[in-house]
Parts: sequence; structure tokens; C-alpha cells
Amino acid sequence: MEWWQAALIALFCYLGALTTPWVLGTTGGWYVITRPLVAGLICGIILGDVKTGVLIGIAVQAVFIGLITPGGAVPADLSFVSYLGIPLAMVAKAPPDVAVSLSVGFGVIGVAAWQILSVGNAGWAHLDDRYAAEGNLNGIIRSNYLAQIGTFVLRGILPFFVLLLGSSSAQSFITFLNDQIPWLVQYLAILGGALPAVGIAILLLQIAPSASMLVWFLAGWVLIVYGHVPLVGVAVVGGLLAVLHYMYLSRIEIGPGEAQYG
Amino acid sequence: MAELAATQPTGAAPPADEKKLTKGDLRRAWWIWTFFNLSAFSMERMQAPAFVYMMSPIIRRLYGHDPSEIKQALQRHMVFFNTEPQTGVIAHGVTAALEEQRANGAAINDEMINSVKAGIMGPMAGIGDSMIPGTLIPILLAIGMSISADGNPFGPIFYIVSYIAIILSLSYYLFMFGYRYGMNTMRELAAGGFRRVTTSFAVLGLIVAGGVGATVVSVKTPLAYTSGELTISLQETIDKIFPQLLALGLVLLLWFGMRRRGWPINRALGVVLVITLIGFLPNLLGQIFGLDWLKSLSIF
Repeated sequence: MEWWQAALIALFCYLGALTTPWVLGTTGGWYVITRPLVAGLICGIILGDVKTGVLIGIAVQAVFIGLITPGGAVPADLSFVSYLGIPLAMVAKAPPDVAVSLSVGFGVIGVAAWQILSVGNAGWAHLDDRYAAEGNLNGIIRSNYLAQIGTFVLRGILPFFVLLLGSSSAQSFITFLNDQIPWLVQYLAILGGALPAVGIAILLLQIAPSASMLVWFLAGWVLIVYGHVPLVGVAVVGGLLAVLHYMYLSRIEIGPGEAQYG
Repeated sequence: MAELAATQPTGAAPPADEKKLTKGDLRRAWWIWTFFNLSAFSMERMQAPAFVYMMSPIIRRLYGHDPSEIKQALQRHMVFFNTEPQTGVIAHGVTAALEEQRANGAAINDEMINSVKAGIMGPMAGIGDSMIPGTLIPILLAIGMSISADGNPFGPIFYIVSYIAIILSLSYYLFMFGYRYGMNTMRELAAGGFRRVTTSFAVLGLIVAGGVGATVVSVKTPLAYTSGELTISLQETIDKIFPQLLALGLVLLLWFGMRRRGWPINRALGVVLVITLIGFLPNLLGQIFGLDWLKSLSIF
């Protein structure tokens, strides 16, 4: 990896961080740039191999498809998953399922960076209290910009050096593993295949209001394994069933007399 | 970025008797929030600095001439605030409406404004988290992943465009909705209709989650029974009865552990690590000691 490639990837790591405002805030950053699906494309363009980037991005995205950050509690740090795990797996020429295990590892490490930032930033809030007592609105506005210093150090400068130093050894490291400890690579591939189960289970936990709602999850599962319906088709069927669900809930809760569905 | 730089209200000062927020003030406040909602986030005060920044065009319009009112407004809004940043903006719209009424002499005190904010931010965090990262994002990602299954770049592009378009229009609408309906907003939300909509969204989300799960989780066993010429592969037998059964079992096990036993996510990751490691152990030991019979006992 050239230094400018490391710099560009680190720049996207910063732009997509949870606390970076510049690209439509959380909407364009955290929820778009930092999704592994999108990061795979961006890293693929920067490293000159779009196809590999997208395929690794999809594999990694599967693990984190149900990731929610309730109240700022980040269970796994997507910034480092997407912009350290994916590019380093690409330069190491690791297959997608090995890349998944690698990325999850970076995600666990990255949580520490998030905790440092979200505790340290309280200093700005204390400064803002003083400005508020003085009626200094511009001071509070300025702190919203100055707070970017911490984010830039942890999400831009730190990843730049990790990428620069990591990329030179990443490929020889994977080659060494393949030749000397083949069982480790085999195991990482098995683990990488199983890890998306965690992402799916989190998703279930978040969106199923009751255990009985799992029948809908099974319906989607069965459409794929028995019916071989493509995913877009599953989403369409899901949409139709959601409308039906809304109709009969209305009939139960409002009563047949008032609900008009022809 | 011109929207952000121009936080000074434009046009003539409002007449002293009637203070009115313009469409431009509200739009500027929404843009500021959209960009800066988490930029000074901390565990202690969360989104409070961003909330004050968002309020700056509103405060300047309503209290622009009065330093003591500005001081009170800043202190009023520097309190803890946290919600789902993209859909929780109903609270911001309602707050703008309340501030406008207060500036025109209505008997609205600090406690009232902050209890309304707190009363909306909590429920909207829950509803927003389950609708946006819980339902909308997985669906759009799943579609993007299936478009790009062969490595073409159109899946991510689909996700980028569709997500930004949906969220920006939804968030803008909710902000203006909050401003128009002020205090009545929560009563409308509580009237049951909203719950039916979210439950129906959950149906859609769960079906897509099932489809994605069956596509992305991969748990296969190399176990086989061999007797002379005859080899029966366990995986092939499973595939004939219920394809992806092992993957489904793993997902349901993790779901059960997290829901009933309250496993944190790291525990769930640990469980996957331990299960796969135990299943792989015979293969590992077989390779290290060169024992083929041991390798054939490996579950994964």
C-alpha cells in the first residue's frame, strides 16, 4: 500500500466516524461511508481492485448487518472494522471469510478508541456550560467544531499509521500462516462463516417485539432455502405481508365496522 | 456548507410585539442538526452541544436583542439530550414551537420545555432505533448485497443513494411535523396507529432478516459415515431435509442466549468462538500430530 492510499483510506475512516459532521453527519458518515458494504467499494477503488473490495465488503457486512448503537453504546467499532479490517485483508490477499475474522478483531480493539473519545469529549460540554453562563452562543458553536480534534486523531491519524505499518507486513503474515499454520487459516474461515449468525441474532433481538414474531423470520429463511427466491424477491414478499399484517391489526384493534378495506 | 456558515438571521428584525420563526430559520436549524448531531458527543451530556448549535438560528431570531434571555436559553438547552439523531428531530421541531410561544409571552418555563424534550427523545430513540438501523438499513443493505453478489459496484451505490434520499426527506418531514403540531405530536403518536405501523415494519424486517440470514451464515460439517464403498455425508443428508439447518440453529441459540440469558454481544461472539473451536479441535490436533482418524472426527 502506497502512503497516499493509506492517507485516503484513513481520510474516509475519519469522514465516516460516528462523530464527524462533514458528510451529512451520522446520515452520510456513520450510516453510509462506514457501512462495510460501502467501505468495500471505497477501499476497492483506492486500492485498484473494486471486485475484491466489494466481495470482502459484503462478507464483512453480513456480520454487522444488525448493528445498532443505542445511546451511543457501540458494541463493535465499525470504523476500524471497515477501514482497517477490509483494506488490510485486501492487501494481504485474504479470502473473504478470513477477512471477516480479521475485521471482527479490529472491531473489538476499536471499541477502546470510541470509549476514550466519548469520555474525553465531556471536557467540551463543561466548557460549553461556562459559555452558556456567559451567554456566549458563538463559543458553544465553536466547540462543536473544535471537538473534531479528538475524532481526527483517533479516526484519521491513528488509522493512517496502522495502515502504513500494517500493510507491509500483512501479506507476508498471511503467506506465513498459509504455509506454516494452515489449520489457523482453516479455522478462521470456519469462524468467519459462523460469525454472521451473531449479526442476525442481534437484528432479531432488536426488531422482534415478541418471540412469536419469529415465525416471520422463519418464513424469510424458508423462502430462501426451499424456494430459492432472490433476496429482492424476499423483500417484496415481506412488504406484501407487512401490509396484510397492518390490515388485520387494524381490524382487531379498531373493529371490523370501522376498518374499511373493501 | 453555506447553510452552516450563515447562522445569522437575515432580513429585517421582527416587530417587537409578534416574534415569528421563518421557514428559513427552521430549515437552517434542521441542516445544522443533520450535520452536527454527534460532532461534540460525550457520554456525559451526549447531544447537548449539538442541540444548542441547532437552536442558534431560533434563539437569535426570538431573543436576538436580549442578552439575559439568550443566557437563559443556552443554559436551558445545555442539559443532557440524546435521541436517535435522524428521526428524533420531532423533539427539535416541538422545542422550536414552544420557544416561539414562550418568546411571545406564553407561560412556558424551563422545566416545561425540558420535560417535553425528554418526553419525546426517549420514545423516539426507541422507535427510531428499531425503524432505521433495525429495519430500514438491514433491508437496503440486503438488497445492495444481493445486487453485488458477483462483485459489481452497483449494490453499494444503490445503498448510498436510497438511504440518503429516504432519511433526508423523512428527517426533514419529522422536524417540520414537530414544529407544526407542537405539543399535540406525542398524543398523535400514542394513538395506536403508530404502533401498528412499527409492528408491520417489524414483519418486513424479520422476513428480510430471515432471507439474509439464510444467505450469509455458513455452518457446514464435514462429518461422514464410511462403511466400505459407502459414504454418507451428514451435510448432504441435512441439505436434503432442511438446508442451512445448522446455521439456523446457531442463530436461534444466540438469539435465545441474548434474549433470555441477557448475553452481551461480546459473550455471543465468545460463544461462536468456543463452539467452532471445540468442533474444529479434532482436525487441529489431527493435523498437529498427523493422525488422520482424528481429523475425520472434526465437526466443523
